[in-house]
Amino acid sequence: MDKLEVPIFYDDEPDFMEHDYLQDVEYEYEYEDVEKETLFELYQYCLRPTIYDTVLYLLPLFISTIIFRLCAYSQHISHKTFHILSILIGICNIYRYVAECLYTLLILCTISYVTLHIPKKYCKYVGIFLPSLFVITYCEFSMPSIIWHKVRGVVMTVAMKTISVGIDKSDTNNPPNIYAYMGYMFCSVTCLFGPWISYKDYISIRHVTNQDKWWILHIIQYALLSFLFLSISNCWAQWIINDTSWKWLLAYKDALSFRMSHYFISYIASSLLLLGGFPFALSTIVKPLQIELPHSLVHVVICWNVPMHFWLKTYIFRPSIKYLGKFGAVTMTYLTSALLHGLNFQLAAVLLSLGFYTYIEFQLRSLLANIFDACIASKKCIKAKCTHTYNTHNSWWVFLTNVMFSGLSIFHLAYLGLMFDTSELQETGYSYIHTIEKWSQLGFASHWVVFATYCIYFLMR
Amino acid sequence: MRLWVLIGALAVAINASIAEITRNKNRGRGSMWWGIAKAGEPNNFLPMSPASLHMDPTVYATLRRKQRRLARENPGVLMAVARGANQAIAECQHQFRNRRWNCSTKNFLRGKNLFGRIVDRGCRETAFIYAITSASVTHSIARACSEGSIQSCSCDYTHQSRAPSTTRDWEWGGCSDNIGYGFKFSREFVDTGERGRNLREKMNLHNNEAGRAHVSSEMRQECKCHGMSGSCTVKTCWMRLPNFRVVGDNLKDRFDGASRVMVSNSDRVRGNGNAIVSNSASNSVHGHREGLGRRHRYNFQLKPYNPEHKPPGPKDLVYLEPSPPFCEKNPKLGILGTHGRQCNDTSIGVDGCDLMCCGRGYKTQEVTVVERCACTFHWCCEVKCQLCRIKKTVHTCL
Repeated sequence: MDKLEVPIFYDDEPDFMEHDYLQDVEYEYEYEDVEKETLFELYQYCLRPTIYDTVLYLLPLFISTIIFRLCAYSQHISHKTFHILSILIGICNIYRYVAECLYTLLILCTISYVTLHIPKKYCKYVGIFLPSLFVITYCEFSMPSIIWHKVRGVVMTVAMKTISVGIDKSDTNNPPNIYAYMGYMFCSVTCLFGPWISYKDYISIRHVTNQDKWWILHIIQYALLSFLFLSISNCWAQWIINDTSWKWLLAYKDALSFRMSHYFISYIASSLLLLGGFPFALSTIVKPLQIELPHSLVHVVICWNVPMHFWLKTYIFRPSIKYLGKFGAVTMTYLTSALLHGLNFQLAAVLLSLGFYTYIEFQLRSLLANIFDACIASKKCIKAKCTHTYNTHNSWWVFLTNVMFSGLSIFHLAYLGLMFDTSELQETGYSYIHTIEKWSQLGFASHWVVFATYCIYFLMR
Repeated sequence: MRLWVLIGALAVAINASIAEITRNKNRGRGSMWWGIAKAGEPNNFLPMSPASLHMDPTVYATLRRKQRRLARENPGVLMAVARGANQAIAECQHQFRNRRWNCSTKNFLRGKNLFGRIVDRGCRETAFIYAITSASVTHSIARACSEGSIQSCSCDYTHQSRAPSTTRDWEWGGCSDNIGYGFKFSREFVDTGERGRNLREKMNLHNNEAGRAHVSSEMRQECKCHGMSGSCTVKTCWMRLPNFRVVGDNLKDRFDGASRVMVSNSDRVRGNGNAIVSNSASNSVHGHREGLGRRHRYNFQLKPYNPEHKPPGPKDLVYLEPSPPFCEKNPKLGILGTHGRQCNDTSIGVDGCDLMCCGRGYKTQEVTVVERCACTFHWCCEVKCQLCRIKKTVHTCL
């Protein structure tokens, strides 16, 4: 072993003392700190793998959708065969992507189909909801959280479909046959990423071909946009807003990344819908521009998921407004939405907050619109039929007020969306503590602002 | 028969002694490649072609024979190594800007060590220098690899699953092997000459490995979930090469908690610090002969000097002897002393005037500095600034 006390000198610098380097020490190297990733690195490490992976991952889905389209448009196969093929393709897709929930879905569909045949006097309105809510609750508590968080969206879409069929049937009293029903439930186009489409839309794909000749261009456009949103969500957002920025900017970044991720999924779903042969009118799921530069929070809620909004409005809000009144109906709608999304505290907190926010914003803005006789209500005035004297075209302060409300909405959105971050929890679902912690970091600012807004409304009323 | 054995033994002995002589002559040359940082224009490598860097005798003088061979057989690496060396110096000077020893380099002269004779001592500072240079080469080679400027390192696009444990784990589609190449190359290039025969060489090897381990462990996979309303139906992942500042920060932390060691005989198998290398089988550094003996080089366990301490882990820095005082000028060790250094009169840390000036006191001057100020943004896209004269109070050690 070497002796420790004697330092080991390298012996090739005998002439060291002669050099007078000590006199002229210069710090001639001023290196700039390269804090940011270069564009090339971004491409290399983020953009390329992200896009490449996702394309590979989604390719089977697109291929199966093309097969579905061929089946749907083929006149040689009977309706029954088409529905059976649709079930088979759908089950293949579910098996490929979310095999964990296959049995759950089969059970849910079977139970709900059976409940369709229970005479109306035994099974009132609420009975239609019970199977879905039961299955969702069961999944929430029995499935491992990672798996449940993965399949949540799929189960939710099917639950929405069963409920919508149930309610439609209770009006017409004409239950669909089992093949068509199951074909609708497992329709490979919508089973994975949604959106909800109505039973009628599904059936009519066999009868009318109402796609224009540019359908393929629309598909490409949707697909390209979806990958653009994906790249923003994964890469650009992180690249533009540094991790050391101001906390509200960081909140905005996380929320932006979450929103972009939603656009990505929605646009993929849109392109799948078109590719599957559904009409162009159905394919608008989300309106990114309306959300990024929102007129009001109400608009954001509407544009966030158009089919879901339609579903909630038709099947929850309208029926319940008779019994519960307006505020009750709004609460009921958001509650149902939260239940459908799984009994997740974070989502429930965000959705219920959104419910109150939109309610207060709506009330205050319609009050203001009446008082000042100006187009500053939550809903945009239709240009030709504006009943107010002042609008954005003839007076600047209307425009300014609207811009202010937009800014307020952006602020609220950043606050509500920031907790869908890329932390460890993203795979298991975000916990109660995570939500409260994130919000308390920002001092619950947005909730206070809403409270203040409500006070203003209360005083003015 | 016996004669042959005798002759054979003799030949081996002679060979060994010759090797011993050359080794002694070349002692310390393992770290001479640092000098490559000052070859050519340091800030502006672009106009210089790789060929000219090849021919540059000052560059060649700093390299050992094996390093020259590596450079010859892997065109393009020399630039990356040079960039890495510069990056290491910059980072070292950044990390130590407020300390008595501020990682100063001397003007490069033939046959001299870039950081001066401080590296002759097996102290903490030396440990840091070795670790940061090795880390920097790994980092810089990996980056050059991904940029495609090293010919022998081709991107391996057949995506390999990195963690086959979970069910449908994510498979990376990107260039998966750069960091592995950087790691391997750094071992070949940086560790040349450190055979681990004596304690000092073991220390160097350990610190070099620690630097590399920091780079590869900071190379991280980031994932994001996509799905309806925040569910996780689709998961996409990507890789991020660490910002070198992060590596520098981590190494500085290890510097503060470095462990003093002596050697023990027990071999060990190194942990997961270099798991990434074993995964990457496709790329190989040209001219790379990995035998059992070379593997063996990294299998040693250093024993802590204080037996009550934990043995150092693969990412810890190790040193052999306490650091010399850096207060006074010591030409024998190449220490500049803190005379004339700027200090902070309000700080109580090492950059504060009390500690920095070693109690010698300091003088305070008012200096006018010309700075850019009142910058305004002009559409589009230009920032215009004015030059302001600002009076600053500067404290310098006596």
